[in-house]
Amino acid sequence: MADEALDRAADGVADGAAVNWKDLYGLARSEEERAELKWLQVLGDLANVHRDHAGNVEDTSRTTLGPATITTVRVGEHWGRYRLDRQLGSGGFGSVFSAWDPDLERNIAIKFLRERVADDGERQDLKREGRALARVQHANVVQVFGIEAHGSRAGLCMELVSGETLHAAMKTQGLFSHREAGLIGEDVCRALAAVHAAGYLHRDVKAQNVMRDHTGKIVLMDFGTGHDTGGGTRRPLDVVGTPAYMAPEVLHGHSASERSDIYSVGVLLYYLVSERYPVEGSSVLEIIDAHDKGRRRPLVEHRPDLPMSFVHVVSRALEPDPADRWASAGAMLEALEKTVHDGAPWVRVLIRTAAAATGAVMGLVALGMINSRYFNIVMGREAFVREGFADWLSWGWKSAFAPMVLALMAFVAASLLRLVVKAVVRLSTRARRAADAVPRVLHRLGLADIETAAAWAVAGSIAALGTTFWLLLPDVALLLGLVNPNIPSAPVAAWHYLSPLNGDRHDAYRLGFEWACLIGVALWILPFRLAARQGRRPSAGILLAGGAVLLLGILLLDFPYRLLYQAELETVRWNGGTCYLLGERSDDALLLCPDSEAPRTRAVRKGDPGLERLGTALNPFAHPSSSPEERR
Amino acid sequence: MLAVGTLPSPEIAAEPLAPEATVELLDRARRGDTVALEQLLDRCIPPLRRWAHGRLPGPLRGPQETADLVNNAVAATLERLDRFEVRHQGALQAYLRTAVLNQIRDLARQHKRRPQMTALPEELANQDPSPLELAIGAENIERYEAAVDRLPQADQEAIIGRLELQYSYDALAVALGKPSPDAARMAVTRALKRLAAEMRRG
Repeated sequence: MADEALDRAADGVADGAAVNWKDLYGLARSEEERAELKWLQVLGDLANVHRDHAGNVEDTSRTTLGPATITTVRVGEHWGRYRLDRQLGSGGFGSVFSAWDPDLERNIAIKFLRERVADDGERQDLKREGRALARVQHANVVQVFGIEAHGSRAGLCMELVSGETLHAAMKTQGLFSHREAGLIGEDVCRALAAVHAAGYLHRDVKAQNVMRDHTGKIVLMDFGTGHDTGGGTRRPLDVVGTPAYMAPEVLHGHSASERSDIYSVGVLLYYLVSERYPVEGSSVLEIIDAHDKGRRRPLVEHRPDLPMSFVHVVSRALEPDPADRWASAGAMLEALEKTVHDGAPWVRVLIRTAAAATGAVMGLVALGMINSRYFNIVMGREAFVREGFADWLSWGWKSAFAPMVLALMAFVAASLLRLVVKAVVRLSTRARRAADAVPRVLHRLGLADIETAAAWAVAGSIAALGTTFWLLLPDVALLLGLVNPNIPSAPVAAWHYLSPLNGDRHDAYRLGFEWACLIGVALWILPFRLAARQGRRPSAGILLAGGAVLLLGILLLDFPYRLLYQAELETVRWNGGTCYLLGERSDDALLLCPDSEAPRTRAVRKGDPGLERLGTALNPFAHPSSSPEERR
Repeated sequence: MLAVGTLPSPEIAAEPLAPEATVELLDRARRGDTVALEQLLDRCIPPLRRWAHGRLPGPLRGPQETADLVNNAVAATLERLDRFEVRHQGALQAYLRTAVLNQIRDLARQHKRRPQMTALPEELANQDPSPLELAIGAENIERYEAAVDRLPQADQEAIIGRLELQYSYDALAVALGKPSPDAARMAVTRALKRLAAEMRRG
């Protein structure tokens, strides 16, 4: 159909109706048509502004060229019982006056709303809101006494806070340190938690609405827009708030939420430490466009000196997807407390590095101990070997090296694949739609829930490990069977599997379990990402099950390492035959003599004249008598 | 805070004049009939005031300031009224809107030229862009104005009447001398498509 998208767009703009621009962009058949749709969207916004502002001017229509008569409030006049003493400020919302309440003999602040809210229904809404907000009693929330209407003006009566806004403070003192900003953020989060607990949203958290009084107390102000009008979608400009502080979903017309308030706190903290905003633009449309195209400046670009813990708290509050933000003001408060009250950054880095290094060393020692102990048991030499921490660390490092290289390669490949997918998604509309559909699909599958995702991770790990185990069952059975009683007592024919000649089978065994473990780890990425986003953990039972499966995989991968790859022993000549030195103990030496009768171990005196150490190390399983050809 | 569009759009208070009435009143005004002039302006000024409110930067956006600015622009335009050939109120409205727009531009230029005499508090010294600049950006406004200027006169009047002055289709039909609201609507949608194409061309 010719120009269908343009026709529908022009009709919508002309009628002032809601237009689903996303659908229309999808209908556009050429770049030109898309460009014209974009301009029609701009025209729609232009019409919205004029439509709105048509209602903002007091009607003086019956005047000629003379001055207009306007009902207004002025300093020195009375409004109801209040005497208006001083104008504190004004803006798009109306104006704020300091006033004297003669009944209660105290100074209060009155915010006069626009004339346009004088409509009866809206006045009732405001009254309801005022009463509800009056119930929010918190040290960091300005106390609202109520909403009153006198004459044609409705006003919000509230506590008079003497001090300056953070916006003004920024102008006088300059950038805030991360500790100052963090402490302010804590108080703002406390205030928001109280507001949210009362079932309300603030919807306009910004530096101009946060006061620091003369005692340093932080007070969240301005609840004139604090009610949530509830569901449905609205036009992009049908919004309440300050564009730079507004969450992207709110700018797109979706309802505000606790998480959109948290986004605003993130912007506030970003602003306090950098005097910039994460997403900037000279107009609402530019800001929306910047959000859509992911044009946001990481905080570290402005302040590379900030501790990463603080940057992380702010970044998470600013996540474009509300699900990725802090789940609540309380969760953000907790994170801020940690970043503000922890020790100096370098101490934290040191502690973390030391903890990670200790963990890594202990892990390697454990691996080394597993494969060394197994090797000693199956070789029947436990009593003749003394190994300690350093030996286990060395064996652990050797056994973990190949899996770590494989994991690194898999990580690099996955990162490259991610980059390619991102590029394709950016270039192709179809791919973008597919990518957009992923969260929906995950949601439908229940994978947006941590417990379900974790359960799937456990099931997937078990499946990966079980499949590998089944495919490598003969090898596993053989290796486990060697323990009973031990290799020296087993028929020499059974040694053949361990011969380096079967290196391919050994590699297949290791590779199989390396992949099983890698898959097991990869499957946990989703639940852990969800856990990080939602600020909670999977249940202990599921974590334990997952850990157990992964540990089993690592054990299966690692226990035969030394037997398969590091079985070389020093060769000796004893009584004319070739033997291998299994171990030594004070004056005794334990020999493995493949050509002898089982058990093929011999404990001999080190000074035995028939014993000659050859000084070369060879794999006993490559001994000629273990070869089927030789036996024939 | 930005509080835009949360109320239903207001209808235009005064219905536009039929083309014949507009022509007649304008003729009488040109001959010095002040009653005719007042009747004419009574129809034209309120929509202009509402329109100007969205185009003015913060400090000039008060009701009184808006009224003064529109009145000044209209008064200056009246001096050239005899040079203006009117066909209907829509044309007069578009003409007056251009006059007000020029007045706003003059003010903006003066503001830029004026030296800063005192150190104003930051919030007061802030440029505080107009709501329209805030919503679509200064560059887009320039592009829009330039594109509107390149449109045929009839399209300009339809766009200005509907998008900027927020006439209902009934009122627009009268203002543009169209036979029906549907005809006015069709004129607007066609003009919008042509305007979008002009804006694309830059």
